[in-house]
Amino acid sequence: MVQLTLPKNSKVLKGNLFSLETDVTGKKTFKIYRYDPEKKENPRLDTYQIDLKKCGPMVLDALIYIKNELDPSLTFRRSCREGVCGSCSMNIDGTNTLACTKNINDVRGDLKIYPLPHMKVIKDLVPDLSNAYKQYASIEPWLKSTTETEDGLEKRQSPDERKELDGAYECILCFCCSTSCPSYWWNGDEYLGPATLLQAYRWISDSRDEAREERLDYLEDSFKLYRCHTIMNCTKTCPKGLNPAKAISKIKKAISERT
Amino acid sequence: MNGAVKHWKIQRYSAIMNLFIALWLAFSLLCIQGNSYEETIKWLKYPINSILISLFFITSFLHMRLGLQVVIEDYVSKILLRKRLIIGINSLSWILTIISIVSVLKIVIFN
Amino acid sequence: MSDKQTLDSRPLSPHLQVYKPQITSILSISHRISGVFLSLGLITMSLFVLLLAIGKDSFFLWILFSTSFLGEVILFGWVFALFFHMFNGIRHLFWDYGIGLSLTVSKWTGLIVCLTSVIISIIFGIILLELIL
Repeated sequence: MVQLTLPKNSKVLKGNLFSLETDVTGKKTFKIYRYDPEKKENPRLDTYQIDLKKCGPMVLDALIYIKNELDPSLTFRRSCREGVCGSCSMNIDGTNTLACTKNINDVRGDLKIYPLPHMKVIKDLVPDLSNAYKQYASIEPWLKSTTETEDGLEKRQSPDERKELDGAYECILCFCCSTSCPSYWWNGDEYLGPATLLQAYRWISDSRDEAREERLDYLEDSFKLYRCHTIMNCTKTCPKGLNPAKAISKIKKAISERT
Repeated sequence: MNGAVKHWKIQRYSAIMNLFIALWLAFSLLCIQGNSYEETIKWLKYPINSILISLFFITSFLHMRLGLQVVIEDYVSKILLRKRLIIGINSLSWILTIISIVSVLKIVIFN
Repeated sequence: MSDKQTLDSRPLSPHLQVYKPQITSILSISHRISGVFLSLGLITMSLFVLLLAIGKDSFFLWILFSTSFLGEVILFGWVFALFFHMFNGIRHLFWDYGIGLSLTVSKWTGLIVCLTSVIISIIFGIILLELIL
């Protein structure tokens, strides 16, 4: 049976408190998931109190502030700090999003931060994404084309053909969607998940690609594709406002219209 | 077309069938709720009723079988147990379909 | 520590425990629960015709069940589950056809499904009660 509760070694214990000495008006409490692979201990939830006047407006700013000023051991992924790299994806206030584009003031009360859900944790807020990347590689995310154009130049698209890719090419592979999907939680080893399927659709719908049938053949599988039950948590949570559920629905429709 | 697509398609076709038949059945049952044995037999013997209720059993058990299979595949990760449960559900729904239709036939012919 | 050991000892990040309930996933799991519940109703329906076919004495069991308070509550539950599953099923069929998959539209259709299934079930229940009384 699928385990709905956390395994014994994953139960989150109470952690340390880093409190503000003085009571200030801009005080905000952050509760952050911590796991240290060096110690043989369960994960814990540490509490940090911050004076918001001292740090920037986004959740990532607060994380960087904590790492610089309160606790240098806090570990998380980050890079661009403007929502284009997809590194700082995590579960903030109960939904998956990017720490760099989430405003602290959008969350009322204590701000809770966990790693992306139902993933093996490497350290603190850093989940192991190897399986997700492997799945992404499995859909062969590159242009497959054997024919040459008459003039020997690059393949061109009409504006309408190019438009087909809108809503798919913008994906930054942060995996917020895949890790928000209950189906991916229970069957993530076989189900490809919304992020990978959205990318599969990106190549299927590309007018220049010549491997459409092969690609659909690969996806025509009760686990790889059909574990999607149109729950739509993926679309709800996407920090880029994309719609993986719609792309998956289009793949299913394309497959059902063959033969 | 492999099993996965067939499963997906038949699930939807049976859903569309059920949309009409189950609605008919719900309202029919509303009308005969609390009726005596004789009245219920009389209701079932109308050809339109006996045909529709037989159809209802066929499409609904089909829809149920496909639906429960997906639920089992989702939540039961042990392959052997999963297979056995699916075989169990399939057999049960076929047996019940046959029992139901035989019952309807018996009433139509002998009552 | 070998690689394998590190991988096995890694904890699983919290999921159901921390993910806020979403209208999307709540409606989806309700669809599944109502479907499983309706399976029991379908099995009961086949029992109904079986009892009817066996004869008057056995059919009395059905009358006992369907006119008892508990029986009525269960029957009403099936009526509600049927309408919910049916309306939400229509929503799913549109989705499979590629219609109504945007976040706003799906939120509204979800609310409409909930409202209509409650209203129609109540109307159904009132008629049922009037027929009995």
